[in-house]
Amino acid sequence: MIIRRIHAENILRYKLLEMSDLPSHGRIFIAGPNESGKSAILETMCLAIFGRTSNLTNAMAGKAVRWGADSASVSLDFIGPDQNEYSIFRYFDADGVQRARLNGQDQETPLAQGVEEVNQAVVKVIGFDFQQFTSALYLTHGRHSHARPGETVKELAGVTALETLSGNLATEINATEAMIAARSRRQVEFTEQINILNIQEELLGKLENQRDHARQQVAMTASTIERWEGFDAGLVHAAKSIESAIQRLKKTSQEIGLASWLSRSNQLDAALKEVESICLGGYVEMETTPADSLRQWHSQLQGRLTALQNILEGVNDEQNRLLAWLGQPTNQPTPPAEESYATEAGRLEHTLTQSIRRRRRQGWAMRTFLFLAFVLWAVTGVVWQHQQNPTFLPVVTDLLAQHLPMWHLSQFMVILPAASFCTLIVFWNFIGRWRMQRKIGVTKASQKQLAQQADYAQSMVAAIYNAANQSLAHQVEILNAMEATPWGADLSSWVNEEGRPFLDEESLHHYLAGLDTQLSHFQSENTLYRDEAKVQRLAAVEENRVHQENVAALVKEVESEKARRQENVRLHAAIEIIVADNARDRRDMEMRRIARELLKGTCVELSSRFNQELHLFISRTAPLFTQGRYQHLRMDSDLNVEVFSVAKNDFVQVEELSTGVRRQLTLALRMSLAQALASRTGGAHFIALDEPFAYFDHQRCRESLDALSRISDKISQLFVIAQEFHNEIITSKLYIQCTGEQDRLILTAGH
Amino acid sequence: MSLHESSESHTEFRLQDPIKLFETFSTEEMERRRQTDPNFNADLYQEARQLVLSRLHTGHFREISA
Repeated sequence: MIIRRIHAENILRYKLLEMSDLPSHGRIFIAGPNESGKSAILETMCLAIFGRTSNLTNAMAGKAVRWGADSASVSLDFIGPDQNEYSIFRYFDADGVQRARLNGQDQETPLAQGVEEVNQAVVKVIGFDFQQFTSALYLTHGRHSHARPGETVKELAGVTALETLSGNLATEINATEAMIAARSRRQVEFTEQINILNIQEELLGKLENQRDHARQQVAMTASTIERWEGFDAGLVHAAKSIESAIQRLKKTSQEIGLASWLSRSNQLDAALKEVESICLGGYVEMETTPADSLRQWHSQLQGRLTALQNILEGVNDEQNRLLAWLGQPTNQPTPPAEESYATEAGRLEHTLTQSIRRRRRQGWAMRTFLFLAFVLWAVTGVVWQHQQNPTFLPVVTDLLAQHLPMWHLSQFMVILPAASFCTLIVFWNFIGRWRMQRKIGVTKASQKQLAQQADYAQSMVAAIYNAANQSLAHQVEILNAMEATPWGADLSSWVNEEGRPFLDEESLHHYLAGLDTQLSHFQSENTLYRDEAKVQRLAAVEENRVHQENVAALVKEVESEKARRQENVRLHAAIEIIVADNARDRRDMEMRRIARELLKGTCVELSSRFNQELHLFISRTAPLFTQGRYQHLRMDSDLNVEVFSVAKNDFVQVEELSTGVRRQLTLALRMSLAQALASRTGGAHFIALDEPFAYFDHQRCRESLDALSRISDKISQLFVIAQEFHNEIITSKLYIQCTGEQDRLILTAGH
Repeated sequence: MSLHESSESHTEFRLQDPIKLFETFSTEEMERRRQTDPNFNADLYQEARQLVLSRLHTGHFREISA
C-alpha cells in the first residue's frame, strides 16, 4: 500500500491538511517540537485508512474532529498491493455520526459504503488490519516501551488463526463438557425420578382388573335398580289388571254362560300370570307373589269351571256323536265310531227284504217238493201193494206192462229213496221258512227300536242345542234334567259340589263376595312387595353410588398409573437419548481434542518455520540497528520473542533489555515483520515511524536510517517523524517542518 | 511437501500457508500414530482433520489469516 495523496479538513489540530503527489519510493521526513502536529499527520493517515487511531477506537473517531468544528473529513488516495488505485473518504462529526466510502479506479461506483463495510473492504484490499498495521507498519510514538510484537509475529506466521481455531475448539469442548455434565445431572435426576416412580409391572393390570370389576358392579347394581324399578312398575300395572279383572268378575251374574265365565277367569289368570312373571323371574327371583292367595282362589274357580267345561265337552261330544249318527252336520269332525242311523236302518231294511224273498222261495220249494213227495209216496204205496197183490189193481199192471215193460221189482227200491228225499226237502224248507219268518219279525222289531233311538237322539240334540244358548245355570239345569245321559253322573256331582255357587243368585253373590277379601289382601300384599322393592332399589342405588365412586377412584388411579408409566417411559427414553448424546458428544470432544493436538503441532511447526525465516531476516536487520550486539531473534515455546545477546552468548527476553536496545530491536523486528507482511500481501508498502530514534544519538540515527533504506525494496515509502533531523540526514526533498502554530499544512511533492 | 525442507539464503520473506502446513502435518502425524499407537482411531483423526480443514476454509479464518 503506497499513499499517493491525503486531504483532511478539521481533523485533529489541522483545519486543512493537504499532501499530494507523494512518491512511491523514498523517505518523507516530518520534524517539529512536541505538540507541533507531527504525529497528527500519521494519525490522520491512520484515521483515513482504518477509521481509528491507536488512541481513538472506531466508536470514538468523532473525537478526531478539530476543536471548534462541527465535522471533519479526510480522503486518502493509495495504490494497493494489486497495483490498483483506491480512494478512501471518511466523514466524522462531533455527535459521533460517521460516513465512509471506498472507491476504486472507477471513481463513480464505490466499492463499499458505510463505516463497517468500508472497514472490511479496506482490510481485504490492503491485506492487513489495524492491529497488523500498528504492529508491523506503524510505529506510534510512546508505544516502544510496551510494544509486544509477539501477537503480530503470531498473526503473520499464521499461528494466531490456528490458535483462534484451537481456542474455538477448546471453547466448543468446554461447552460440550458443560453440556455433558448438565445432561449427566439430568440423567441422575431422571434416574432418581424413575426410582421415585418405582413402577411395578403388575400394578396397572391389577388396577385395571379392579376398575373393570367395579364397573361390572356398577352395571350389576344399575341392572338391579332397573329390575326393582321394573318390578315396581310391573306390580302397579299388574295390580290395575287384577283390579280390572276382579271388577269384571264381580259384575258376573247368573245369566252369563260358561264362555263368559271362562273369559273373565282367563282375564284374571292373565293378570295373575303378569304378577307371577314379575315376581318369579321376570325382574326378581322370589318364592312368593302378592297374589298367591288370589291365585288359590282363582285356581279353585278355574277348577270349578274346568270341571264343568270338561263335562260340557263330553256333552258336546255326545251331541256330535248323535248328530253324526243321525247323519247331520256336527260342530266338529267326529270320527265314525259307530254305524250311523241311516246305515243301520238301511242294513235292517236290506235284511228284511232278503228275509222276505228267501221265505217266499222256501215256500215255493216246500210246496213243490211236498207235491212230489206225495206223488212218490203214493206211487210207492201202489207199487208196494201191487207187489203184494199183483191183482190189486190190474190197471196198474197194465200200465206197467204197457209203458214200462222193463219194470222190475228191483226198480221199486229207487222210487222209495226219491220219495224220502223229497220228504226231507220239504221238511228242510219248512224249517228254513220258519226261521226266516222269525228273522223278519226280529228285523222289524229292530227297525222300530232304531226309529225310537233316532227320535230320542233328535230330542237330545235339540235339548243340548237349547241348553247351549242358555246361561250357565240354565244350561246345567237342562242338561242335568236329561235322563240316561253319559254326563249325568259327572254333572250331578258337579252340581252338588263345585258348581253349587253358580246355580243360584244368592250362592253366586256369596261366592263373588270372597273376591273383595282377596282383592284387599292382594292390595295390602302388593303394597308390602312394593315397599320391599323400594327398599331394595334404594339399597341398590346406594350400592351403585359406592361402586361408581370406587370406579371413579380406580379410573383416576389407572390414569395416574398410566401417566406414571408414560413418565417412566419418557424418562427412560430421555436417559437413552442422554446416554446416546453424551456418547456422541464425548466422541466429538475426543475428535476436537485430536484436532487441537494437530493444530498445536501445526502451530509449533508453523512457528518453527516462521522462526527460521524471521531468524534469517532478523539476523540481517538486528545487527544493523544494534551495531552487531544482538543478532538473532526467536520465539520460545510460548511464542514469546527472545533475542540472542552476543555479550551474554545466550537468548534473553526482549523485556529484559534496556529501553534503547528494545527500541532498536523493535525497529529491527518491525522491519522484518513489515517484510513478512509485504511478502504475504504482495506489492510495495509504506511504513510510518513516529520518533523511532528518540533515544538514538546522531550516529545511530543516521546508521539506522541508512539501514532502513537498505533492508527491503518492498518497504519503499517511509514516513519518519523526529523532533529534528540533521541536515546531513535530510536527503529527501519531502521534509515537513511542523511548528505547532499553523492549522493548515499543504504539501505537494516537488514544491 | 515435507516439513523438513532445508532453508536456503533468499531475499523474500517466505510465509508458510497454515492450511497446507496443517494438511501436511496432520497427514504425517496420522501416519506416525498409525505406526506407533495400537489403539489409533483413524476415523476419529480423519474427522478431526476434516473439521479443522473445513474451519480453516471458512471466511472467518480466511479473514483472520488474510
